[in-house]
Amino acid sequence: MSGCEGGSCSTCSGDPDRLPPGMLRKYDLNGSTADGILVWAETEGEKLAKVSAELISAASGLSDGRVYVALFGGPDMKTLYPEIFGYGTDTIYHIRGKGVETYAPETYSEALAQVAERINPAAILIGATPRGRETAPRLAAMLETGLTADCTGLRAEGRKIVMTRPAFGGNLYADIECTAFPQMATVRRGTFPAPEPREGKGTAIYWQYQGAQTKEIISEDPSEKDAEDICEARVLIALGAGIRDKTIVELAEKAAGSVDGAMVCCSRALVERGWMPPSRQVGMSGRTVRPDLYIAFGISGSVQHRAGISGAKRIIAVNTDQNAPIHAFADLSIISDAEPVLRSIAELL
Amino acid sequence: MKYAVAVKQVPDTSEVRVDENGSLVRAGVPSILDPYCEYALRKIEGIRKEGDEIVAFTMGPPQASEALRRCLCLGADRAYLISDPAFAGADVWATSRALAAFIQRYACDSDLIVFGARSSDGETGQVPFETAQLLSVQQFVYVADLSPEKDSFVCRQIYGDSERTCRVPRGSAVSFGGVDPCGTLMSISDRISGGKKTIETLGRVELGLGLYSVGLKGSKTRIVRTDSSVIRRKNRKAVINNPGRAAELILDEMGAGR
Amino acid sequence: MFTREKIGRSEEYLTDESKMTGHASNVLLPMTEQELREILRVYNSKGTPVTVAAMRTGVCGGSVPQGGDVLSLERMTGVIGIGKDERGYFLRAMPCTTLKDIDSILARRDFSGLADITEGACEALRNEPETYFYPVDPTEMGGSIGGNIATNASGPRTYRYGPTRDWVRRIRVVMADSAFADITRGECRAEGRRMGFAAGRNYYSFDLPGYDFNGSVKNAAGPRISENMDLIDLFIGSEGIFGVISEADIYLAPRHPLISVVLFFPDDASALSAAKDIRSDGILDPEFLEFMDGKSLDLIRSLKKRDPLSIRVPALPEPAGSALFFDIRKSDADASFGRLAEIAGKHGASLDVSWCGHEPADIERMRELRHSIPKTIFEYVASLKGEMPKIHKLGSDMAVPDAAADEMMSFYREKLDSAGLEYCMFGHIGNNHPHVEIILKSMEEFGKAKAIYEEFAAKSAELGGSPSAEHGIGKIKTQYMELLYGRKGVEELRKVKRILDPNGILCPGNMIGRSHEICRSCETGAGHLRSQGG
Repeated sequence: MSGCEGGSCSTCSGDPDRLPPGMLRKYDLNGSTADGILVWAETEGEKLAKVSAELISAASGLSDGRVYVALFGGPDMKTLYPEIFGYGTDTIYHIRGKGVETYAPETYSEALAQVAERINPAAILIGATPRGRETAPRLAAMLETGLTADCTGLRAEGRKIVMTRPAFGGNLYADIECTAFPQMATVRRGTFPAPEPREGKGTAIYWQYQGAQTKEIISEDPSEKDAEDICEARVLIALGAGIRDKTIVELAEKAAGSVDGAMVCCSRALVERGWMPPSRQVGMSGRTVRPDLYIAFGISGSVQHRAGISGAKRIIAVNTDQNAPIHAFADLSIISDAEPVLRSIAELL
Repeated sequence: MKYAVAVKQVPDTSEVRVDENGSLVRAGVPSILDPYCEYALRKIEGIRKEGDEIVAFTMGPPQASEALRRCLCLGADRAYLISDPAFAGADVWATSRALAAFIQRYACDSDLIVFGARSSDGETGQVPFETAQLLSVQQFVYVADLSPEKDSFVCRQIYGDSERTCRVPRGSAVSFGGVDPCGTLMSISDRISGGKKTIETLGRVELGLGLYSVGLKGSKTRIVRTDSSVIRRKNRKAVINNPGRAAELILDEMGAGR
Repeated sequence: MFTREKIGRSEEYLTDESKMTGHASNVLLPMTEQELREILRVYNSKGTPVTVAAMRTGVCGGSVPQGGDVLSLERMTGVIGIGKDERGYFLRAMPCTTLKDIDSILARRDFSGLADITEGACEALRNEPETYFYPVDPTEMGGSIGGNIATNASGPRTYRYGPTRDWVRRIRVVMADSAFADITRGECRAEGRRMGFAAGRNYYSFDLPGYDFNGSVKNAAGPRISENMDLIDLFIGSEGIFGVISEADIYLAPRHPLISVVLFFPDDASALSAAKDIRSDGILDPEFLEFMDGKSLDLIRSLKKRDPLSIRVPALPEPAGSALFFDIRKSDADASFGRLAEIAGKHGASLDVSWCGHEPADIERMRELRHSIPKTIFEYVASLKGEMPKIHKLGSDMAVPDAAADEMMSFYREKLDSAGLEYCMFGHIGNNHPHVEIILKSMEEFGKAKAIYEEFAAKSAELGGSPSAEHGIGKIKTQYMELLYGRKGVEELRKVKRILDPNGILCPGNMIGRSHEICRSCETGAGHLRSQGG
């Protein structure tokens, strides 16, 4: 724009669509070149976390960009390669180093940030597990990008990812976009269907993390884990705040024991009362489940709870309150007091 | 020791109603101090010693000062309300930036930055960790117990599949993992002494933040669409007074799913 | 046309919170006043009795049928509109609208779909700076407004606001012969003891009973009979024996922001004397004043020990020997706290060991604490039913004038202690109306306790009080009517009943017993029955 008067040459003309002579297309030179999706493959002991498997497989179908997987751990983790490749990636970044021998959110997020800076992905997906929920925000802050936590749905529009999560403050679901790259999301287990394991091939890249472990861990003990996982159950007997008698919980457990594939789960109220372990909680702050049949006893059906059961094939609600929101969400509503109904079920079984 | 406790005011979810369309009705729902934050504050109150100081702070609209008042009654010594019209619409990133700016300017000598596990209004507790990263301090999450030692703290964290005991260096961020379902009731004396303490209000300028670092403008995520439609199922209602009949019906359904 | 359903095996319609069980063949479910009148026309001509029921939350069996059919108003529900007169705002509702529904509509200020009974009333109420509410708080918010009026319900807030009667502006009553009367307070009064009013084509004229209703204490024993009484007061508290309420207007009051307070005292005596100081204090002006004795607190402690989450309050302070629960206005909290500090200091309490709730959630939790006491006892007694099917809860419901409060209290203790019974005392100390609950362990104790209760009732009447301060008479406490008003008084009420409901179809058994069986002995009644038989 040296010395020409406005409008006298085509470069400075008022028409924004008009291109300079010889130029065929307009390029956005400031745009990010980010592409592809990076997934953190979290491990539980020797095994790949189920949510990570879901995410890798979903990411490969989400956009036409590449899928990268970041994996922490020693050489013994190599046994997981074929499985991970099988879910639809061709590149694994295997991060090793003294600083990441044991899990710590500080070093894990730093290592992931280094990998992300190298590959410049358009999106980073992390499972909404206890560790994922803790590491993702730290990573987002390092990369100065936005993070949508606990998504219950993802879809891609080009390399843009639209994340869906239940929004508080009125209307139910919000579609959220990240205005910076990489776009980050933690995704709940059960958001995508579990893939069939199959073997695949690809490239594994060792990534040496140079940092040192900063956390002083005095001791670490594995705690008892619920042997069964409510996400696997075919029938779920769900108990909510409407259950006032603690003995009902045992009764429900007994009833579930006599039905094949049935388990007992609960809403937040019962976990807060300490009647059931957090691993049995369904909803926004618990698990997302997709059983064939979900029977809600004394659950009013808050948005947070409903977010966890939208994948259920069939829902029966038993609640005395005609106006409880769960009824609008159920296939069959039984307007009745939950406790005696449960008692009768236990008797009949 | 000096403790900085981040709190939040939330609508009382036990009072939230839902209208025919399944949308939350927020009119007339009272706001309360988030029970998770209250639990964290009480935990700190439990380990405080003579000469320790507890500073409570929150980011929110001017009414959030009521939540801070409750903190003052429950043992906090001072309180800061981080409030500015420009903060409206902040996402995790913008919120964390404002909190980090506050801590750097007004509470940088804190020995511990304390958070509640999550807020009960549906947010999932990302703010503590982004704030910790922005301050470059260690973070300790799902904390069940915390005890002060000579020059640091020791905490027990519950990760679901494992329990971890860690040394917490001074200046770290911790978030407690629980809530007390029986809650707290303050005494009249607490109320009187809490009523005398002052709440200082800080805006964007006091925190030294630019207009594009805060609120909606400073956010990295954007809500593009909200969907108020509930997934409607083919609903059949049955008013059954006889629990036995209801039980038979449900057992039939269980059988049908087999 | 109206809906009639066989009751069959479903016992729902045959009982209420008294857990007394009755018998009836059908349940009638009118939707509108039209249907209600149709039902009464048919039943009156057949002479089949109906027992009016709504939410069945009564504790004296008022809605328990003793033969005939149940007339359940459960479908006549909903707030109709809002109006304003010289006294203030009022709300018009169908009889089975629950207090909870009324409360939530007022709290949310959601008046869409409501009629303006006087011009612009809905809009005006919506724009009031203060939220309005219906101040009579009978504890059970699931009860219906019709039931509350029929029993003249009261509760903790009666201390400040008086019973239901004081808040009723107007009622519509369907008489036994299906005529209806629209009765507004102040429009129809008795002349001396002579009452006359028109309903439909009928004109009723009769002599009122000669006794005077004791309105100086909290009292739920029948309608407020007095010289030159208002007609509306004949129906309020009459437990459905004179007519069926089909619509009601109730006054509303502005809700003042309140702070709930629990003060803990070393022993019962100091709490009781502090209660006196609080009542006579000019600055403290509680809306309710409730007492919990040491035994009640022990009960709560043991309950919390078994299941810490059963009551959502922190552990009770140790050592606390008794407690007072009341509220103060937020607007003059500072002055009140100052006064409380003095009163607490004087009676061995301290503001350091107290609870105060400012926010609705805290206030609700403290309320839960108070209500957990009768609930626990109720559940305890229910658990004994397996072994001892005849046992039921024995809770006193006696209020006495201020001057006799101490005497009554020591009478309770003396009698129960000498009989060696375990008991706890809690409740509306502001109205000299504590509930004394005996914690029964055997049938033998049950027998002893029953006898002692009769003594309590007699003593309260003797001291110028009421043996049924808030629970009403229903079918369980009919003997107290005679205790208070003598044979003559009850007979006079029965005479009124025979004029207003000549076939005796409305709520037989309530309040005055079986009026028409006894009336065989009196001429008019006998003649009437004979004519019916013929």
